[in-house]
Amino acid sequence: MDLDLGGRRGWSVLDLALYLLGIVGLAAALTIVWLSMRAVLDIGGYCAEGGPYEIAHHCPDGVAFLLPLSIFAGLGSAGLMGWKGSQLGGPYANLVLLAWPALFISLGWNFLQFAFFPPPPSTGIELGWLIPGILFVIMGAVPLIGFLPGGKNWKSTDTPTEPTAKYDFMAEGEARYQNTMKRERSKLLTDLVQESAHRAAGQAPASSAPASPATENADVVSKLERLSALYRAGSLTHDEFQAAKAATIAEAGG
Amino acid sequence: MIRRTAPPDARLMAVLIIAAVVIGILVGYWIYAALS
Repeated sequence: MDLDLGGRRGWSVLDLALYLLGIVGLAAALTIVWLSMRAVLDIGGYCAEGGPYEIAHHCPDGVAFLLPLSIFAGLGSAGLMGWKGSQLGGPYANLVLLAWPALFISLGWNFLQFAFFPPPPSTGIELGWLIPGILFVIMGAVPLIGFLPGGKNWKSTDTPTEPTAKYDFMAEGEARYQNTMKRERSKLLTDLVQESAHRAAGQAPASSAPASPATENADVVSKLERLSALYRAGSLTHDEFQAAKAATIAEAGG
Repeated sequence: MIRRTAPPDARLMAVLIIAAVVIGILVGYWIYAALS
C-alpha cells in the first residue's frame, strides 16, 4: 500500500517539524495504550466506569479517560504523519504503516506476558490471554513483510510509475480512418489503371455497362468527391490528385 | 518559507525519526504517570 495524502508540492521545515510531531504523538499514544492495558490486565483483564450500575471492577485511576483519549490522539497523529510524510517524499509516508505492527505486537506482548505470568491468585498459563496474544503477534507481524529489506514499503511514494496501459480511442480511430483511406486510395487507383488499360485497348471498361448519361454524371461526381476527400486527407499527393482528376474528367468527356 | 522538492537526507531523517519515537515514548510515560 502506498500513501499519497498530500501530493508532491515540496516540503518546508514546518512540514518536517509537523511530521516529527506526528511521530512523537503516535509513539506517546501507543505507549499510553500499552500502559493502560497492563494496568487493566493487572486487575484481571476487565473493568468498568460510569453509568448507573454497581461496578464490581473499577478501572485503574485515569485509564477510563486515558485509553479512549490516546486512541483518538494516535489516529490524529498517524494522519498528520502520513500527510506530512507524503509531502516529504521518499518512503516517509509509508512509515506510518509501522503503527499497526507496533500496536499489535506491543499489545500481544502484554497478553503473552500476562498469560505465562498471570497476576495472583491465578497460576499456570492463562489460555484466555495466550490465544489473543498469539493472534495479536501474528496480526502485527504479517504487515512487517512489506518492511523487509527491499520490501515495497521502502519504495518512494513519489517515484514516477510506468503509465498504465490505457485503451487509446483517439489512436484507434485515427488508425481506422487511415486504413479506410488507404483502401479507398488503392481501389480508386486500381480502377483508374484498369480504365486506362481498357481505353488503351480500345475497349469499354469492364465495369461500365451501358448506362444512362445521368448515371454516368453521378458516377463521375462521386469519383471526384472521393478523390477530393483522399487529397484533403493527405492520402494523395497533389500530382496524383491532379492526374486522377484529369483522368476522371477525361473519361467522362470521352 | 522555502519549499524543497527533493526528499530530505535519509541519514538525518533516520536520526530524527528515532529521536522522535524515543521522545514520544517518554512523553507517553510521563502523561500516563501524571494522569493515572
